[in-house]
Formats: sequence, structure tokens, C-alpha cells
Amino acid sequence: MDQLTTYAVTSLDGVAFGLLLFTVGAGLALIFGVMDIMNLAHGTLYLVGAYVAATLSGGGLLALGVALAVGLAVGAGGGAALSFVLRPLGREGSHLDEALVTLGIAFIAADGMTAAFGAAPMQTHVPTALEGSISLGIHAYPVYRLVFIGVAALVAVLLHVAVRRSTPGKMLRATISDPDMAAASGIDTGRVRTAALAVGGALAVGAGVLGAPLLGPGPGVDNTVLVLSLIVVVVGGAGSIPGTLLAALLVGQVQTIGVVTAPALAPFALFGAMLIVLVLRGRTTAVVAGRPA
Amino acid sequence: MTLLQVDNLGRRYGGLHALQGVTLAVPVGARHGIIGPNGAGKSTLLNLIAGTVRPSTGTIVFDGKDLARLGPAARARRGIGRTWQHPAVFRRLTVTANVTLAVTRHALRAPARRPAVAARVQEVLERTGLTEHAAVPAGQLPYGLQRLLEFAVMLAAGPRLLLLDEPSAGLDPEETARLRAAVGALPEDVTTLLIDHNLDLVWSVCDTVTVLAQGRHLITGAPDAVRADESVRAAYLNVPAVPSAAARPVRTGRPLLRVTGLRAGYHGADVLSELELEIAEGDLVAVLGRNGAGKTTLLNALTGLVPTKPPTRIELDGTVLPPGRPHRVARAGVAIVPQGRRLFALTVAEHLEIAEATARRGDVYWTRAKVLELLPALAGRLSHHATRLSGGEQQMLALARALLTNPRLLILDEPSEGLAPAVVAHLATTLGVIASSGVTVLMAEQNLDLALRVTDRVLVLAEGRIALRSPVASLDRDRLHELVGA
Repeated sequence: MDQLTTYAVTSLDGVAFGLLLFTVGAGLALIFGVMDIMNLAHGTLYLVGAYVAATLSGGGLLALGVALAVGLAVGAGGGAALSFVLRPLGREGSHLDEALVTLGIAFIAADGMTAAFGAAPMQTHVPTALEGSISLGIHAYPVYRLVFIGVAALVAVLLHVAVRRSTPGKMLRATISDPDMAAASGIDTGRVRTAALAVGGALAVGAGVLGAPLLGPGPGVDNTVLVLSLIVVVVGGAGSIPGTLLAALLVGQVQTIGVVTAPALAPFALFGAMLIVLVLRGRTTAVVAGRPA
Repeated sequence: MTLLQVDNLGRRYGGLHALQGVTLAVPVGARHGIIGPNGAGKSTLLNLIAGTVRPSTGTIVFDGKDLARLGPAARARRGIGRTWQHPAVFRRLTVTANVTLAVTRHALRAPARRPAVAARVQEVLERTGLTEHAAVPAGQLPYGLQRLLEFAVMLAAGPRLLLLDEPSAGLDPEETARLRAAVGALPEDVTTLLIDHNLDLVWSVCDTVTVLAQGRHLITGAPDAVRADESVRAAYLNVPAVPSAAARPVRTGRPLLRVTGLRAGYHGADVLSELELEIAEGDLVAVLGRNGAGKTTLLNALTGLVPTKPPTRIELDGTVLPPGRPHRVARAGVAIVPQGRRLFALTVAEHLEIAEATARRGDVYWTRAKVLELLPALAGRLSHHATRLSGGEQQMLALARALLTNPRLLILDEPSEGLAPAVVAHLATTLGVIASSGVTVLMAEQNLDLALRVTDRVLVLAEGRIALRSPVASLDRDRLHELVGA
């Protein structure tokens, strides 16, 4: 019974971590999966958000609100700046070129942040109002994590509705499906691209601000987040919000439950899960559907 | 001996019967044509035989073996080869490389040693007349030659059954003649199943013809018997009525589009050089010419899809259109129905919504209600995904998307490609209605009958220049046929 409770709590941690990865990963899915831009500075954006939270928040809800507002602005600005920096490479820019540029930015930024904040991981304090734990039946659970789960789930729903139902969302999907034809239909594809990058950046930094108490800022966190969100995008099959969500939740569970149940296998568990998903998905989508004439 | 036996074959998409209870027997060496209106289920039948779509009912037996459990790749290895409605070639590889990839040990029925492969590639290239283009990357070939290349790739695989899905779509008369010769010169033991809307091609190549209508088998017989059949005429040549637009006085004769010094092309080489062009408001103009003459390049340069070079100057009603900014050209009032339709991965309603959202500001004549009245086939399909529409419906959707952006100039690139005669007739009437609403129309078209029936002026392109401009009424037909190779 006791062990079961431990698993249940660990699994809830997994949900929280999975939703954190979803928020970052959805940003990357938008930038890489959707706009086909290889952004290796995505983990850096998360780290920026986490440092913003560690510096500005602590104490009141207002401070967290300010940190979030600053983070979203920085993220949107960062994404838009990325679009500007990559513009000379052209829309047909090769992934290798884009990877070089964004990796260079990631290195410079990581060095800059270590110089500014020091090499030790920083503590992020949860706002007083969200401190402490509440009892979920037989076990206590931190309030902040529950709130985080709620907020991230709301972000997932809003994103899905925006992409499927809103006119800008439809323009985004049209641009993905045929950029040239979208432009010839009057869609400003340059603006769609910049907007996608800005939203993607804001998601990454926003995740950093809100996720700092779960995965705090420190050197190397940017790489961890980048790799995990790349896995989420690959497993989720870029371009679908529900797919990204499922993939993120899977990675979250593997990273938490997996570590508890089989510590020896933990380093391989994630890639094992990824392998299984990719093999299964390859089978089911192999048959190309023909069109009725 | 029967090579292909199809029994009670059917395929449902949701509530829609794309194909229902079709039974066919095709003997070895047959040249079997399949015709019928758009949405009759022709491509579905081909996809079922090739294995890219699974049947809802019925069986397919090929060479005595039930194909039910075999996927498309296994069927290809057994000797079923196919082409697609739009050419499927490896665009970055050369013509030779494309053909070489298809020559496997299955194709040779012997180990794939280098000299044997090279000999087969050489033979196929000669048979299809592609030898002189052997070293060209496939993506740089004109559209017509890409289709021939696809045909060559399939031949190289040494098929026993060829499935040809609209091989003549987008070909000019000379290329069509080359295709006819290539099909005619196929080895006798290669069985062919041919879908095409070019009935002249079907009558001249096929020994048996099947007519499908609304997913059902209508008749199978010799070409002469099928041509004479009354029910075929009723199903195939019936033209739906089109509501007429309120005639508006629009023939001002004022120039709407003025182009000077147009230079455009791909990869450095100019396809068009120093082209001059003027189109009056309310005119219906056809751009004719062989494939490779520069028709698509011209139309795409006007919409900004192909980059132009100085001293190009394109004016719409006195305002210069910004080069390299297609969305601003679109919002200034230039809409295109491109070759191959290029619909988005969206539903019909979503296509319409986007077009309305990006429409040119100003008086809107073509509202959603009017467009759906003009193209009623779309009204019942609003929630359908564009890929689930028939070829005719897809063309109507591409037209609706263009009209809803409130254009002043509507550009159409090969609008009749892949459409059945009845749909082409409907298209002709529809374009007339659009023109009488005040929209100026510029269309490239291989179907000379359609072009000359619908439009009132023609421009003939040859080698990147305008070789002939004339009103249709006083057109020198001999000169036209000389220029387009008909």
C-alpha cells in the first residue's frame, strides 16, 4: 500500500514534469516541426526564463506575475529576433546552417549567464500564497505543482483551440502545407513565420519562469531541456498539439517512474521508449492513402 | 488467359461509396481503358489494384494469386507498376539516376549487374525519347517530360501490368503524340490499364473500354460500342446548369495589367526575356504554347511565385506590383488557380475562411454565398478534407479560394487538366460567368477547344517570347497549330 502511494505520487510528479516538457516542446514543435527551423537555442530560452524567475520572483504572487510578463516579452522578442537573425539564410535555409547559428547563440548565451549568475544552481522560491502542501487523500502534495499542472493543461487546451479553430491558426496550417501557395493567396508568410517563432520562444521562456521551482536554473539545464524537448517533438510527430502532449507525458513518466522502479535501466529507458514509439508509428503510417478521383 | 480478375470490388469513405460492386476481367496483353466523370471512382480502382488503398468489399486476383494480403511494395515486385495523377519523380536526381533506381533484380529477373542495368536504362530512355535529357535533374525538366520520365521509370521496372493514371494530363499535343507512341510500342505481353480524360487517346490506344459512373460499372466493350452507347453519353457529357451573373458593364477597354521588360526563370537561365504584355479590364485571355514555352513561368511571375529580374515592371491598374512579395500581389487583386491545384491540408470550409480573411479590400462581388451558388458541388462538402474531394471538386475549390480573395485579375494555369468532358464544359460556363462579373481572366490551357471557346483573345508563347497575339475571332488557325504543335 505504502509503495503504491509512492508510485502514485511519483506518477503525479511525472505529470507535472511532462507538462513542463509539453510547454517547452510545443514551442519547439512550432519552431522546428511546423516552421521547419532547426532551433538549437531552445533550451537556452528555457534557461533565460528560469533565471528571470529566480531573480524576480520569491515572495508574492505579484512578483511571479511580473517575472512571467517579463519572461513572455523576452521570449517573444527572442523568437522574433531569431527570425530576423535567420532571415539572410532564406526560407530554404539548410538545417545545418540554422543549427550552426542557433548553437552559436546558445553557447554565447550560456557563457553569459554563467558569468552573470555564477556556476552554482540557483534556488527559486515559490510565492508564499502557493507554498506548502495539501492533502490528496492519504498523501500530501505541494500546492505549487498542482497549480502548475492546471496552468500547463490550460495552455495545452488554448494552443490546440488556437491552431485548430482560429483564423490565424488556419493560416499557420496553410503556410505549413504550401508556403508559396499560401503567399499567393494573400497570407503574409513572413509574418506567420515571425509570429510562430515569437509564440514558440514565449512558450519556452514562460515554461522556464513557471517551471523554475521544478527544474531550476543552472549551467547545463539548457542542454537537458533542449534534448528532452527534441525527443518530445520527434516522438509526438511535429504538427499536432495532442501528439506533443502525449509524447511529453510519456517522457515525464519514463523520467520519474522509470528512475524509481529500475534505477539501473534509467539512462536507457527514455531512448528505449522512443525506439518503441517510432517503430510502432512507422508501421501504422506506412500505407499512403490514395485520393479518389 | 486472364491476368487480372476483379470481383465485386468496393470502397467506402465514411458514407461515400467511391466504388461499388465492380467486376472486371483483364486478359494478358490487353490495352484496357477506364473512363468516366470525375468522382466516378477511376483512381480509387487503380489505388485498390496497386494496393495503396484497401478494399471495403471484393477480391483482386492477379496472375492466379489473391492480392488481399499484399502491400503496395509486394505488388510492385510481382509486376504491377503505376503512375500518379501528378508526376512522382525524384526531382534532385538526373533522368538516368531516376530510371536506374527502378532497374532491380526483380525487373531484370536476373542479378542486377552493372552492364545489364546500364543496357536496360539505355533501352528505356530510347524507347521514351528521353536520351537527350539523360543528365538533367528531373526537377528541371518541363512538366510534360517529367510525365514521360515517370512512364520511363515504370517501364524500367519491367512490369507485367501497367496502371496509368491520367498520363496525358498537362501534356501538349506533341508530347501526347509521343506518349501515344510509347504506349503503342509496349511489348505485347505487357497489360495496360489506362485512365484518361483525353478520349482520343483512349479510343486510339485501347482495345477494350470500361465506363464507370458514380462508383458503379456502367459498360465494358470495344471502343466503338462504348462510343455509341446512349447511357455513356448521359453519364459523361451531361452539363450541369450554371446560374448567370448579373451582367455588369465592365468592358471599359482600360488596361488593367501592363507588363514591360519581364525577365524570369529558374537557376540563372531566363525562361522569359524582355516580355511585353497588356491586358484590358474585363478581357478573357488565353495563353497558349507548347510545354516549356514559358506559360507557367509567365503566370507565376505575374503572381510573384517566380522571382523576376530587372527591368521587369508589372503594373495593375497603374500601381506597380512589388517584386518578390506574392502576398502583396494577392492583396492588390491578383489571384491564381495553379497547375495541380495546390490545395492546403485543410477542410473546404477552412480554405474558404482563409481566402475571405485575406481578401482585397473594396466592393466584394464574390461572397461565399455567391461562390457556393456558382460551384454547388462544394456546398455539400464544406467539412470534408481537400484530399478527399474528387479531381473536379478540387478544381472547384481552387477556383473558390481564388474568387473569395476578391480578385481583379484571375489567373488559371491548366484549369481543365484531369477533368472529365462534362466538368470541362461546366468550367467553361463558370469562367464566362466570372468574366461577366467584371473579373479579368488570364488562363494557360492545353485544351485548345476550351481555350478558344471561352476566351476572346489569345497569346501564343514560343521559346519565351510572344509569337502571336490575336483576337479569337480573327485568329490565324494554321499559324496557331504550327506554333502549338497540334
